[in-house]
Amino acid sequence: MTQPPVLRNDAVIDIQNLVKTYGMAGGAVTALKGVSLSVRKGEFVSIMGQSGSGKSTMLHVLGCLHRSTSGSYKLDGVEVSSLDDDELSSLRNQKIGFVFQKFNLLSQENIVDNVALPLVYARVPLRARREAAEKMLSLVGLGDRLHHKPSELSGGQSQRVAIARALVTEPAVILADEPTGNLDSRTGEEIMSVFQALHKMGRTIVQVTHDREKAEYSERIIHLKDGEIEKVEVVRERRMAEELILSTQG
Amino acid sequence: MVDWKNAARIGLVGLSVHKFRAALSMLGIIFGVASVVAVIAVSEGARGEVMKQLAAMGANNIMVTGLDWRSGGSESRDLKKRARLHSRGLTVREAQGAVDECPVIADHAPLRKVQASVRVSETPVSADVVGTTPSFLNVLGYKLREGRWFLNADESTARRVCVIEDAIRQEYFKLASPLGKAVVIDHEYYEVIGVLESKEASSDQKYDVVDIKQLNRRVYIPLAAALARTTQDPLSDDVSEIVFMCKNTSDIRSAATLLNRFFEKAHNMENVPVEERDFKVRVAQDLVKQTEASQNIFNYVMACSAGISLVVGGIGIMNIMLANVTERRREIGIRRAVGATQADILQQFLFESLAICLLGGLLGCLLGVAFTYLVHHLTQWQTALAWWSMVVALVVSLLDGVAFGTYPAWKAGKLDPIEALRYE
Repeated sequence: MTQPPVLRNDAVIDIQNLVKTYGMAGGAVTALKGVSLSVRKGEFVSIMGQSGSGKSTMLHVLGCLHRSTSGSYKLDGVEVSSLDDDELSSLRNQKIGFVFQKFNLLSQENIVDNVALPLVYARVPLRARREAAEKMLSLVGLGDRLHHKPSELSGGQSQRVAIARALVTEPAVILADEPTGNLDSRTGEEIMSVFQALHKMGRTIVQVTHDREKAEYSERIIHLKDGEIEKVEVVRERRMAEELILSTQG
Repeated sequence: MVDWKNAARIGLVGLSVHKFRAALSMLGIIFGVASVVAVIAVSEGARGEVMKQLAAMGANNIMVTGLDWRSGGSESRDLKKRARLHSRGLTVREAQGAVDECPVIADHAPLRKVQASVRVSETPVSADVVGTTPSFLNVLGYKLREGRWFLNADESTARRVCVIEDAIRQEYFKLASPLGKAVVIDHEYYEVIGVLESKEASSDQKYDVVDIKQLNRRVYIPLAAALARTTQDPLSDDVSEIVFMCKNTSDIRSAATLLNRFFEKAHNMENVPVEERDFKVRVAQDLVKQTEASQNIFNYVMACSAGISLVVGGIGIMNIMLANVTERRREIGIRRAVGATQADILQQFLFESLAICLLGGLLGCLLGVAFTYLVHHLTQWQTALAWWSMVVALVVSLLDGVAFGTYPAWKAGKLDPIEALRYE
């Protein structure tokens, strides 16, 4: 397998020959069979594939939720493969912002505390946490709903809260797992416009999706099949969502 | 890495979500702690009473009491009737004889209870009238607040003088000095010549003669005057109780044996079972020893039942926390995904257990105090709330939280974040 032509020092994600095997009853299953992939800083990349293609495993490894069985994974210059559980937690905290299909907000906390959650584990003091969280909520256009509970928000708003939470630690990469999977097409497009705006601001975004249409909002599509990269497609005609100006003022 | 402040905050938020469930899981701890606090209060109260009695009776004293025909008491009337047939009562002469037999006895004081109405001016006074000798003050260890105690001359001439307890002075003489004033005992005037300093003594325990509750409400008159009042026979010297004081504490045991033998012989009762005899010999220290022995048994039983209820309470906590962990797997997954370590999750859930236990412990203390007052109110037992019992109970309930909260918390920390996130 040839290595993709990228500038190493510019890579936020640098994967070489990554293999992930699950031990299961009745033998081991190899979910990723030697994948090499590089994502530069500021890129907006989609990972596509059918179920069973290994894209979930890819997301978990990229998100430092699982370690690979073999191969190398450098995240923002840090070799992940050899880290222990605490170090992985700290890496998730500092370098990764997750956006999930089901939003995954804590229902008992208001949205400011939800957004501030990663900062709790970064040992940031309460007041600084809240300030940062409020700033991020303003950024995604929810500055007027700070004290709402997640249950009082629509799906699109909930996903914006989740995006604010992903941004609050200024991570190296935002990892989105089917971010529009639970939303109708209009709201989905709204979320895509948020991603495109963040991309414009220089954020690195990797989204996993099975939806071709949503993948076309990104710059590059990595097609996974049976645990291997089938092809890497540069999106010729990108879909552009309605342009959204994100206000960086608090 | 330990960040208890955050763990505390998160834990309390977690608790507030399931208030009812948390309250239910606390019940075991609450009742465990409450019963410990209440039971210790009752037991301490009883111990305090015994100590007071000991102080009131005098540590070196041996009490010989005759049977009181008038009071029903705990002994069966049948036994009393039989005893009475043989009874000659206790007499002053006997007392003197006993002292002659036992060289270790330093002093003695006979007491004679008088049934009489007492008044100050026209006001009826609730007080016991007791006749005794000049030696009483020394034997029982009383001190005079003002005035003087009886002299031998008062005794030999049966003068109508009296010494009152401080409680009576406070209640019936207010601020004026009672010295020289009169107390009317069954229409006869007795001049107050002294006031005793009050002695720490109160009890619900009745003695045949000495009702300790009434110890602070007694009017003392010379024994000769009392005997003259209560019997027609001028030669009778029948008394209700004789207090013998030993020279040394170490002599008490042998002196009590000697006295027992002396009265056995004097009353012709060598072959009569102890419970049918017309006299009783008791030692203040025996009372304490006996109480301590039964209290030790009581303490063991209490410690066992408290231990069981705390274990049961702890299992309740563990049960609830395991359910909590299972139910909140998704939350755990979210926290892990955004950077919580296993230790962070463990702390959070351990703190919840501790908070449940501590809160349960505090509520238990409150309930224990309430129980104690209820018991005191319903039974009139003396109780003494011990602050250390609450500290011990709280510490034990915290230990309970650690002992039974660690496993669920550890399990929460060990959850695989991906599995946890998948949970619906």
